Amino acid sequence: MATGAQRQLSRRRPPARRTPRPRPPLARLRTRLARVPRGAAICALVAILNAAAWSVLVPAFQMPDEPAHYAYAEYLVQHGQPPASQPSDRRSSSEEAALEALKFHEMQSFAEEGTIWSAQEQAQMRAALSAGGSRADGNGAGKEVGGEPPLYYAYQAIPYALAGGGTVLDRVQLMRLASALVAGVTVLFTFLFLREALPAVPEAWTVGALGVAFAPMFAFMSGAVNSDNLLYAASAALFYLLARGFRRGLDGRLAVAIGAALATALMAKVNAFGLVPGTALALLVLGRRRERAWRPQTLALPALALGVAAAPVLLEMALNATVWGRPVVGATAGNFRTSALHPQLGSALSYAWQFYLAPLPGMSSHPLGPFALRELWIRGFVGEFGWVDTFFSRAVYDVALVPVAAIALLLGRTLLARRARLRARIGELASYAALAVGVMAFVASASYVSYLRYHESIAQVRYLFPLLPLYAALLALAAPAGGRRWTPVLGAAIVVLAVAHDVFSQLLVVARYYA
Amino acid sequence: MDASAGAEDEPQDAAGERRRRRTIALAIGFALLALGVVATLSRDAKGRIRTNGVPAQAVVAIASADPGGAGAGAVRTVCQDRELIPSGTGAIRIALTGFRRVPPRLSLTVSEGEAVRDAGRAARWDADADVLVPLAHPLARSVVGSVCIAALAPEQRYWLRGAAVGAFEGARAGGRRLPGRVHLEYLAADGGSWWSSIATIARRMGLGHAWSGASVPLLIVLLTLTSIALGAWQLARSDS
Repeated sequence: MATGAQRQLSRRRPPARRTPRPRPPLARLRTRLARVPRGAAICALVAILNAAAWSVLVPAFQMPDEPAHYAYAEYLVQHGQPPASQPSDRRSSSEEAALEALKFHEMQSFAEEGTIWSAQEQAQMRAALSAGGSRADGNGAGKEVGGEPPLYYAYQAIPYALAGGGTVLDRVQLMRLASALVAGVTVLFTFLFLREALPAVPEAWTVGALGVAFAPMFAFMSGAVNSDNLLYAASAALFYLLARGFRRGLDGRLAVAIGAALATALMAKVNAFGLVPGTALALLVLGRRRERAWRPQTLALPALALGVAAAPVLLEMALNATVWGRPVVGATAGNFRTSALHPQLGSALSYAWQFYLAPLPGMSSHPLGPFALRELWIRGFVGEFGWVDTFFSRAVYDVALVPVAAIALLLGRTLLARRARLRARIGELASYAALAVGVMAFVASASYVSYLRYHESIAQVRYLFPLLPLYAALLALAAPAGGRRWTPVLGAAIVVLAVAHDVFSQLLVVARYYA
Repeated sequence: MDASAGAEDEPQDAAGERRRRRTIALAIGFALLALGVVATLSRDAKGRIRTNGVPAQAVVAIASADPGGAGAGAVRTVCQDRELIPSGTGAIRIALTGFRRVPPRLSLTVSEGEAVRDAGRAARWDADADVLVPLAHPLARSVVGSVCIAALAPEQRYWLRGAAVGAFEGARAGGRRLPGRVHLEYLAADGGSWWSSIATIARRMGLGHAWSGASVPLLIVLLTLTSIALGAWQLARSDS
C-alpha cells in the first residue's frame, strides 16, 4: 500500500513516458530458460544423466589426461593463477599420493590390470588418502597443459573448493559431475542447432541430439575432468548461433553472442583456434546477406563478433605478460612449439591427408597405418576407453562398419532428394564445412608437430568432438531418408543403436576394471 | 519455414500413426537390446582373480618347439618362478601372440617346489592376442610356485609378452635367465557366466570410489536406465 509521502511524490511527478521497467537479471534468466524447448531440455538431461553414470563408472584418473587437468585446477585454486609451461610435470604430494593409492601407474595403459579389488586394498587406499599431503607443491602439470587457457579450470575450481575438505577422490568425483553438466549444455545447443538448421523435420532434432547424448566416447569424455568438455559446449553454442544467423539474419545481439561463444571456446582450449576461420567465413556470408552488397558496413557486425571473441584472449595475453609470468601466447611455449623442428609444408600436407584418409601412391609414408579413416577415426569413435587401452574385440570394429555404411547411404539418399534446397543454402554449408576443415586441420597440425618431436600421433576421436553438431545433423538427415512411412522407424532405430552402443561400452569398461 | 510447421500441418491421425510406428520400433529395438545384454552376460565370464602384476609391454621371449629353426633367441620352454597362483584358479591366460589360424599347441604346468600341482589342458586363443589354458583341476588352495609354458609344435612360434624386470627376477629358459617376465592372469574356474560373477563385480565396483558400497553400482545402473527411459519417452513424443 502506498504511503502519503509516496502519493505526494507521484502527484508532483510529470506524466512520465511509459518505459518498460528493467527486470531483475534472475527473472530475465528465468524467462529465457522457460523459452528453451522442452525437447532440448530433456535431451540435455539425458546427456547429463548418462555422463554422470560414466563419471561414477570409470575409476578416478583413468580418463585421458585427467591427472593433468586435475593438477591445473588444483594449481589455480592454490595459487590464484594458472600454471606456466614447464619442461616437466610435477604433481602435488596430495595428488601423487592418491595416484599411488589408486594403483594408477600399474593400471594406466595396461588393460589387464584391475583397480582396487579387495577390502585390504580399499583400507590401504583410504589410509593413504586420509594422510593427504600438500596440495600446493605441484606445478599444475605445466608441461602437459600449462599452455592452456584457464576458463574450464576456473569453472572446475568451484567443485574443487566445495569438496575442499574431502579427499582427492571426493574432489575428482564432484569435478566430474560438473563436467557432466557441461555435456548437457553441449546437447542442448546441438538440439537447438538442429532446430534452426533443419526446421522442417522436428523429430530429427531429437534423433540427432540423442545420438550425441548416447555416443559412448562423448559420454565417457563428458564424465571426465578434461577441458575438452567446455570446448564441445562452446562449439555447439557457436554452431547454433551461426545457424540462427543463417535462418533469421545477423543483428548486433547475435553478433555479440557469436563472439561470446567463440571467446568461450578460445578460453577453454587452444584447439578452438581451429574454429576461427570457419566462424570468420560464416560471419562474412551473414554480413554480406544483411547488407546485400560489399561495403564497409558489411564488415561491421562480423568485426564486432570477432572483436568480442578476441577481447578475453587479449586480456589473457596481457595477464600472462604482466601478472601471471607466463609466455604472452601460452600455447607456443608448450605442446605447439615448432622452433627447432623445421616443419615443411609439403610434408605437413601429406601427413594431414594420411592422418584422416590413406596414403596416395607416391606419398612419403607416415606411420599412421594403411587406412587412418577406419583404423583411427571410425575405430576411435566405436570405442577406445580408459587411457586408450580398453577396446572391443576386433570383430566389433568390423561389424560397426555396417551401420556406419547404412547411415552414410541413408544420408546420401536424403541429400540427393533435397539437393535443390541444399544449393540454396550453399553459403551456410560452406561455412559449416570451413568450421570442420579448420578443426581437422588444427588437430592434424598438432599431431604433425608431435610426430616431428616425438615420432608419435595424437589421433584421438575426442579432438573432433567440437564438430558434434555436424555429426548430429548427419544422423538427423539419415532418418528422413525413409520417407513419411519409415522415418519414425529409422529415427527410433538410430537412437536404439546409439543406446546399445552406450550400454555395451559400459559393460566393456566394467569388464576391464572390475572383472 | 516455421520451426514447427512440419508437425502442425500434419493431420492428427497421421501424427498419431507416426508416433505409433516409432513406439513400436522403440519397443522392438529395446527388446532386442535386452536380449543382446542377456546373451552377453550368459557367456563364460572367465573372471580374473588376479594378475601377476607384470604389464604386457613388450616381447620378452619367442617360444618354439624347434628353437634352432625359429631364429636367434628362441626357446622351447619358459618357466616363471615365485608366481602366486590364487586358490580357485581354473585357467591361466598368457599374454602371447602367434598365428591364430591354427589352434595353439602349448603345454603348461604349475609346480610347487619339485611337485607338479597341475597341468593345463588344451590351450585355445582367447582375446585379440592371448592364449587361455584351462587347468585340469581348479586349485583348492593358493600356491606359490612355478608356471612353465612349453611350445609343442615345431612349425609354430609364439611371442610371449611381458616386461623387463631386475637381473635375478626374470623367467628361466634353457638354464638361463631372461631379462623379463611374462604377463599372466589367473582366472576363476570356467563354467560360470557373467551372471554368476555379478556379485563379485558389483562388490569391486563399490571400491576405489569417493564413497563405497553397493550404492555405487546401483547408482550407475539407475542413472543409465533413467537416461534411456527419458530419451525413449522424448523420442516417442518428438513430433508432438
